[in-house]
Amino acid sequence: MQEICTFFENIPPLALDVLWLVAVLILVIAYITVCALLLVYLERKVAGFVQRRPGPYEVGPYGILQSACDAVKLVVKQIIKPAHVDPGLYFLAPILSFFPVLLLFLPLPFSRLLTGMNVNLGILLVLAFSGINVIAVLLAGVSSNNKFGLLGAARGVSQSVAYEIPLLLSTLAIAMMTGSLSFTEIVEGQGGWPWQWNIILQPVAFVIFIFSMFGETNRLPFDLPEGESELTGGFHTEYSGMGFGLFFLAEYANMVVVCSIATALFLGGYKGPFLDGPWWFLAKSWTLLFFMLWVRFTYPRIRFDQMLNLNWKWLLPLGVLNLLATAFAMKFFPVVANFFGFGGAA
Amino acid sequence: MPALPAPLALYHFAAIVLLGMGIFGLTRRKTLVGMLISVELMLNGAALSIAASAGLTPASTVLGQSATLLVMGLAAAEATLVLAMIIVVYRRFGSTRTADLTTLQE
Amino acid sequence: MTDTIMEYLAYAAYGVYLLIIIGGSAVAVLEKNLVRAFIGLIATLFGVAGMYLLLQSPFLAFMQLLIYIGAVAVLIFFAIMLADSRSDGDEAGLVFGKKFIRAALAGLLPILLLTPPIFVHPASTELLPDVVTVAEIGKGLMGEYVLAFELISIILLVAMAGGVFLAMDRRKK
Repeated sequence: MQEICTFFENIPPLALDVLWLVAVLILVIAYITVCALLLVYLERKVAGFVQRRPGPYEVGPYGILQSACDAVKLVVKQIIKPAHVDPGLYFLAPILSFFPVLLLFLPLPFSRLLTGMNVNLGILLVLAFSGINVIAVLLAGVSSNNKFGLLGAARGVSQSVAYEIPLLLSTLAIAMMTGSLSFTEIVEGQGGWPWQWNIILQPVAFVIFIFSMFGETNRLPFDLPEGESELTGGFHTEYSGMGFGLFFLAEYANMVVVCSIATALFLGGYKGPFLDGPWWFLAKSWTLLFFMLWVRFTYPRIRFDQMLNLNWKWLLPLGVLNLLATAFAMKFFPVVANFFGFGGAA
Repeated sequence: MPALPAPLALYHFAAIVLLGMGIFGLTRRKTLVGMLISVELMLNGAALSIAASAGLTPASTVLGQSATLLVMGLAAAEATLVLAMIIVVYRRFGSTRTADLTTLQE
Repeated sequence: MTDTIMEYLAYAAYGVYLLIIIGGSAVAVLEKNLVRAFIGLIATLFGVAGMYLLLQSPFLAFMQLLIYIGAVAVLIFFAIMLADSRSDGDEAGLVFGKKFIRAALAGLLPILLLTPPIFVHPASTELLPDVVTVAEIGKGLMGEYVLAFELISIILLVAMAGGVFLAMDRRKK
């Protein structure tokens, strides 16, 4: 036992950093896989109950093993390359869609110590790497040489680029209030009880963020890029087997990331009334995920021009006004900020 | 993260490579979009040179990084306008090849 | 001991980023298919972001990714799509003809002229790049350089308005 301790003390800090990063990446991949399996199962069950039918119930008790079987099927399917696609870009698109998502999990504060990489610029990192998904969707649509794919990609890109802006504006309001771009500091600035969370001080930003969440991850009611009933599959029409699996995985992982960011920014992260820890973080983000699944089967799909109108004519002005109001409030009412325990940058 | 304890020349070399490749692309490409891509390469080289020079010399680093941000913003504004011009040109001439865009010698 | 390992790592990272930049820009300027040239441009942008990381400014690296790859690259892609310039090998032609040699000379000349001076007469440099926090950049932009900040906002506004106005469908029927 003594030798093990001295062994770990003698490793140079550089190697420790590398080991930590490798361990974090493995944990992130494991978390994404578990989340994806759970989400696929939950989605079908929630769909079933909302539509007054049982959902999957044959495979395993209450159909629990359904998503595991689906995953196995996707993995063992033959990787087909259609003859008319551009080979390099066709295989690059799912890879480009999935790998930035691994990086997105790094700055998330699962608990005070359990953060992958406590970057000072966590918000900026998340926003920067979410932009890479846009390129992946573009590549998928273009390399397919397929009109459905191209239409789906064009819609997807317009939507993603449009909804990035209210996302940015609402996180900017929180960052301005807290005075830092780091997730851990934003969570530290909130308290344990629900009236001490940021949502009380920034309700408009929370609403804007919820809308942008749906717009960014291409979830119903904003899921035109993969409009299953109109476009046969949108930008991933020509993908099957593992390629489709990677897009699917990336979409669910994006959902998890965006809900985790919402809990860190607005709902107090890992802080709770009695015991701070990762269980609170997981509970809150999974509540938001369940909300996203719930909305999916409740609302009809929105039309493309209605969706863009909503963004450019409502969310963007609201976001800018919210930012202005936050700036005014911070300058002229620092007492309010101090009362709620926010030192911030007032 | 590891810093590069090296002379400024290495960063300037990367910027010059980008500049040279950009000029090569600008003179060789036959379509407007290809030229736009080459111009973006050159702008990247310039921004990298500014950031490196400000960070590794006694000059004010804040000035250099602000200037780099301004160059990025200018590149975005310029790409917007070039895209609008490409659309107008395509509507008027029917193609974006520079060989077709002549009204002087009909 | 760790310092020299970090140094070697930094040099290796510089080499990797330089290779990405050279490879990406070569693809961007030499490829016939414009979508593949676009991919080369994206690779170059990643390489330059890596260079900013080596300069101890993660802020600039993330802004590079956010602005260029998130917005400018998408713009260029829409230009490729809307102007129908990706088919029928528009860049095919005399690959090694006279135009290629002239263009190669034009591109090589700055490189050949400018590279020797920077290595022979280097500017007085510090060894490690200065670290500047985002707060300092913010104070600078709002304090000393506020005029430049306001001007760039005006430029972006005018560019957006001009772009919309130029590309608008003016149907006066």
